[in-house]
Amino acid sequence: MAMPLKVSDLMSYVNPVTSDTPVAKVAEIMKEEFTSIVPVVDESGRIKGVIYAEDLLAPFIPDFFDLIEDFDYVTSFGALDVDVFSDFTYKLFLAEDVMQTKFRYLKPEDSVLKAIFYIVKERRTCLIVVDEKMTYKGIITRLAILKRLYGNGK
Amino acid sequence: MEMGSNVQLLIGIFVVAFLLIAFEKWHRTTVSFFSAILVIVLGFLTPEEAWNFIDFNTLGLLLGMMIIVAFFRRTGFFEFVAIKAIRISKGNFFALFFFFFMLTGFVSAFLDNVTTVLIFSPIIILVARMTGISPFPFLVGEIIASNLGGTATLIGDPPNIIIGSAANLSFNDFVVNLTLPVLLVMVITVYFLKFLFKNKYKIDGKFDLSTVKIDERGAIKDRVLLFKTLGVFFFVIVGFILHDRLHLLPSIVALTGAVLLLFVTNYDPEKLLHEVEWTTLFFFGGLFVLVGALEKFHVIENLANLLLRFSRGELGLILVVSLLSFVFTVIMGAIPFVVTMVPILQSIITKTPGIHANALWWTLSLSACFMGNATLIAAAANLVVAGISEKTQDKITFKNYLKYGLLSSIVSFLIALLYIIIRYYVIK
Repeated sequence: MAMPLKVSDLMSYVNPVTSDTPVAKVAEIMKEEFTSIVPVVDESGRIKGVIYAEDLLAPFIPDFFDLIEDFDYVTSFGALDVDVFSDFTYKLFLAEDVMQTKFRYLKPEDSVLKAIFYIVKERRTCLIVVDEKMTYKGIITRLAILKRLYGNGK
Repeated sequence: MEMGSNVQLLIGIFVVAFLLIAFEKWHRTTVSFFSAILVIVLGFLTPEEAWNFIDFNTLGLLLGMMIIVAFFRRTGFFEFVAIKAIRISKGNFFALFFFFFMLTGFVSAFLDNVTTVLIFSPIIILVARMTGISPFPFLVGEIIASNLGGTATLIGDPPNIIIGSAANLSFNDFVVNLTLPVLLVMVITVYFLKFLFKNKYKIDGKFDLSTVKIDERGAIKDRVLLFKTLGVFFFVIVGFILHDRLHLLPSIVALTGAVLLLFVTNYDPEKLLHEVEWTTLFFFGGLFVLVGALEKFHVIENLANLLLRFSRGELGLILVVSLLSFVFTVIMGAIPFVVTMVPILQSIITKTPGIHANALWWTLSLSACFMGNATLIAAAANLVVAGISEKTQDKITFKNYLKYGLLSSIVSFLIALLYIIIRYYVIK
């Protein structure tokens, strides 16, 4: 009988950042490490929050957009297109300004089935992994799970 | 407890309830519902009496229209019309302002004001940001147009629904007596606002629409649903026009439309009924019970006597009703004021044979609905638009709205008063 898969079997490591890291640096980590999640930790390595790629994109969306259900009738936003992308003030934001402090996390000993459940249910690309003291341990990505499930067990 | 102290306690409950509604420390529905239960628990009304004081025609009409509106919101029809208006304006600032003002007024004559502003305000902000202009004058215009337009018909504004139900006035009565003055006030107000805005905001001239690429056809979310909703709505309007002849209450017409839509679309009623504003319905229900208790203990009759003594003559009464609307709508909002005034006017009409009853009802309707524009807290739609404006750089605040709201409501109030006097007392 095959051993049950644990989160630690598929876990990988992404360099964490601290609260005062500029978001531009966070974006650079995402780009260089091919990740859509960056953990935010304190000096002792305890997790304080997570930043998803969406959290870096969200500030570009004008606040009033959430009042409109869809934009099927718009092809070009005119002056708004120019306004939004010419505003570089977002680059001055720090990690603590955009990080999510309430987030789903897993333990290394958790079953991969639990990871699959949350990834599917919450439509995430990856989840953070911490130990019982909330110390950052790594991440588990849906790609890693996919590779394992559809890659002949490798 | 003595009878006198009983009544004093009841008046005390009423005054405290209305003060709490005005200051919004608790949700208005909580206050209204709590007061209603209190008057039953304290024995002012039996549960049966309380039940009988609730105007189920008003509640049914509101409920039916809320369900129809929920269907409309799923179609994208109003977004379609709004985008069409942008294209028709051809980059002319005032044309766009005028179209949106009139469109909002027209739509809120049939749908409730809050729904109307919830549909149009985000599109207005979008257009303003797309074209690099300030949304502020448009949003203020949106508030004012929704309150004015809602006055035009029986179903446009809750005060009209309450008045129509209590005074047995039909949909057609409202159209014949109110639509014309409302239209007149809307046209005058749109130019008056242009005058008020001209020094601070760009309201004339052209704006660049060339880089904006929008197609109203994309706004329609469900064509089949749109046709079904428009079809049923058409029959509902015909039903309203004929309800008097058919001996059907307006609430039955609206509820028939609502259940017909549920039937022909086979939508899940559980999901749809979540969109009904139950808090508003409970708010109304509580108010009816509270004011009903005042009626039972002759407080309303005494207030009517006081009003008659104070006003001296019919024209004086018209003036007093208008001025009371002016003051109390601003303080407590139009709905609680109208719920209280309706039995008072009914008592006055009973006591004064030969009085022009309808002139009194139209005065109450026009003045209470129009004064909803006076301040940012005078009507629900105002607060909704102010909330939406917080998502822009041009927030609508109590202070920056007051100039436009108060001045335009004074203008509309005076036109309404003049209309009432000329139409019902000079021309007769």
